[in-house]
Amino acid sequence: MKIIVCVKQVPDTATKIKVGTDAKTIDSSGIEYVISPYDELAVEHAVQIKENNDDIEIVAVTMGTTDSDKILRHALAMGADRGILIESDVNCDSFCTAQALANAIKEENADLVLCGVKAVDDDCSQVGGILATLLDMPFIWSAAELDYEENKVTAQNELAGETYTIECELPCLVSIQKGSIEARINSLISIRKARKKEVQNVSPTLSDAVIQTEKLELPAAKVGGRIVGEGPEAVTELFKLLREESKVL
Amino acid sequence: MSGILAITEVKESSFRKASFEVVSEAVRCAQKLGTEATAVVIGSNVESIANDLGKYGVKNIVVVDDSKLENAYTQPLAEAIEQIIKAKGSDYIFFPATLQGKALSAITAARFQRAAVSDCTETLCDNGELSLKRPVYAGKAIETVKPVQKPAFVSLRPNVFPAEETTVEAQVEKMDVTFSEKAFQIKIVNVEKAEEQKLDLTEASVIVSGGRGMKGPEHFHLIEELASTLGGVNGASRAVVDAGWRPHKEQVGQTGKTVSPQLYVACGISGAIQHLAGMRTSKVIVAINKDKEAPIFQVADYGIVGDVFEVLPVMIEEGKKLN
Repeated sequence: MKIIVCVKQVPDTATKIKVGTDAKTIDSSGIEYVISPYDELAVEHAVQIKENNDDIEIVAVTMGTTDSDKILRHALAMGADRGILIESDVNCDSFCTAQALANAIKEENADLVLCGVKAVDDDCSQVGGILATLLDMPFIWSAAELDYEENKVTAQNELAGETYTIECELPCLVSIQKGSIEARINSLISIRKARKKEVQNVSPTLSDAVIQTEKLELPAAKVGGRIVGEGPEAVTELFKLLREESKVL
Repeated sequence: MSGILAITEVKESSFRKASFEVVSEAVRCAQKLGTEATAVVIGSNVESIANDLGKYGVKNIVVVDDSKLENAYTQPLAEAIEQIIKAKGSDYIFFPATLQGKALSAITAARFQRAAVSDCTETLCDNGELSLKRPVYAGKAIETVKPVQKPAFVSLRPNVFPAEETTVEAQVEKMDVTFSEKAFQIKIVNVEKAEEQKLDLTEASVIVSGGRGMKGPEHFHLIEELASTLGGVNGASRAVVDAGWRPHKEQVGQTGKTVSPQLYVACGISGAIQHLAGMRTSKVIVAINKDKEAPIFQVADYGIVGDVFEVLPVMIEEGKKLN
């Protein structure tokens, strides 16, 4: 069985975002890029399936600048077998990204495709669903738990206090949310081994943009915020303000 | 007829609240764009509730009521919406940016070689075209984007857009659609209800969150009590989720949930950049922290400098008086 995991490099979540000179993209100077945390969990799920079953190959795929090799190596160190890097400097929308991914992995004939529920940079939550549609696969979204058994996956997803259990025969695509498992920490040996694993660099097939970015700006700083008072004595005044001034109670 | 389709979300024969916001915003945008809004209701046994949408000012309602949709997953909904878009020639399709809505918008948009503009917090109508503002990097920055091809797909963040009530006579049109066999490949085999039904954080209008300052999991009953007194739900910072005090589903922040409630109360949360990103689009923010230099006060509308263990019990008492 073949599992493909889609990963993306994103600024470390502790990064302070600055707007670039084009006023459309971020200023990437000094930013440390990491694998998007939900994608890392998707890799972990794939590796755990591999550990519990025979004959499983995991291919990690990403689209991004040549630097993205770093997060592919991270996935390889976790236990993926090989990588595909779709090299692109273009900032493209979710459809364009999904199309390039679909073209690059179509011939792999994957049984199971995994990705994170969203990338923690553009927060779009779109690529998984679009990719599933382009690959003509059913799409399970936001799975917190995932089990694989005999050509079938069972996923669990919690929504508004209800836990849904969902089943699908392979092939299918599942987007991963945080659940009970944690991504493993790579050992030095696994990092060293990952350097020797195969990463194939391919050129993207770029389709026309369907969404255009017009502007990127920082959120307006809060004005008029104030300290109501100190200690429990301030509570009465706070509730008065919430009722009468901001009218949220 | 071109126009805007407002996709609603139905659960157990009633509308999720975000549905009304989407319908209401579609009506407002349609007015500005000089076109009409149509609400879409899809499910099993939903015809009887469709009329309720009229009170949000929408004149046209399309209903797909099919017993095949009983307990169905997302795929058949996308097939139904595709057929409605083609029948109506719609220019814009609005979805609620709930977890399901975001997934549904993706698989529907893909059928038209599009991606949806996800989780928008503002619509801008200019020259008959729509642009959208949406937080990125979990709210550390805001982007303005424009869909350049139609039909265009958009999802709207819950709690941000007002659901305005106006009285209009709505016309309900029942539409028959066909489903592929493949639409039912994914099966929901079990739904387990928690003992206590709580709204998802992303849909709650009041959130009370606790951080490290709560000193241990045994004190979170204060957070839960204040949340329930104010009619809201409880959240948590990443630090306390990582420490295992609270489950991940309660985490607010960049690697948790990005929320925009009407009222956000941060208790014993210093305000790491991660957390601020996830909650700064809340309408009103209250912070309670004993350190007056804590970054949380920079995004707060109202702050109380003090010990959460002294302040919270008084807030709970004060909250009870509201009821």
